[in-house]
Amino acid sequence: MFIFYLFSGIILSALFFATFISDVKKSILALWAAGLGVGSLFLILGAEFLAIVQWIVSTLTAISFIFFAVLFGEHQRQPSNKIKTRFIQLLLSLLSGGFFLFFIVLGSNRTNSSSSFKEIPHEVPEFFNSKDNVFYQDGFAVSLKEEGLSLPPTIHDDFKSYANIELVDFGKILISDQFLSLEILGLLFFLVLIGAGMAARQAKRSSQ
Amino acid sequence: MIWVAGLIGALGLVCIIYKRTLLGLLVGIHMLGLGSSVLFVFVGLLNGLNAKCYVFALFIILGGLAQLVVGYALGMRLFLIKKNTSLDDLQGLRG
Repeated sequence: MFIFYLFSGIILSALFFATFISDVKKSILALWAAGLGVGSLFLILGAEFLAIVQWIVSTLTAISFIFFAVLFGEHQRQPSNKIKTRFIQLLLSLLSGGFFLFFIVLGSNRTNSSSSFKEIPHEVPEFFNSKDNVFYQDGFAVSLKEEGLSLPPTIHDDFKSYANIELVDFGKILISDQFLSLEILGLLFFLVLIGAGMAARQAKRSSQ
Repeated sequence: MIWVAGLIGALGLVCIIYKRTLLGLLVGIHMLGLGSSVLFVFVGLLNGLNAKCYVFALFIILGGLAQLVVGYALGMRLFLIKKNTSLDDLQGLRG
């Protein structure tokens, strides 16, 4: 739990830095650090594939941000507006962020109240892996081996045990249940590529 | 755990509203995508839908890439026309 809160603190402080710093380069580097921290968080929670994807995406995003920041000439400090305007902007942004956080936490409390870790599952989950027995305590996966505990004879009746997701299970869902979503994502990337190329071209100069 | 994801998303929203340049807006959008992917992973862990929520988080991460590409294209267009990337000049792209 300490590692989880440590990484959460690193992520939040990096994002706070990225939001309020005026220098674009430092803001982008802080965003990169936050992306790496989120990948580490995924690693702690057992999503290794997601962690690797997040690290790659964060690094590529940071590189592209730096490239475009230099291209657009934003590598210098931004000129500051009037103090009153900046204060109103800051206040509005903090209020909207506060409302957003409130609704996220409210929604999560309503969702979690209906599911309890003490519910008895009637069926074994499809991707249950009995190799490393893991159960949940206070929202964190606890390995029985590390805790020096032994399995009770009816673990499926007493605990909702989840194992780390194997990559093959991840792939099975992608090509079976979510195949249409995957195809739509591919189509989206194709359309984005064409649209971005059309949008970013230089305007034709009118011939005299 | 959920409040961490909520804070990440809230900071992204703050960044979107606070920053007045296109790149700042894209940074905020990327932060929102980070928060939502973390939220999906947490909710998946807490409700026993690990694999499906991981898949959704993957789609969110990849969809965020598409958003960035479109943002960069808009930024290029705006820069070519107006020679800056202030959000106030985005209306100049119309027509």
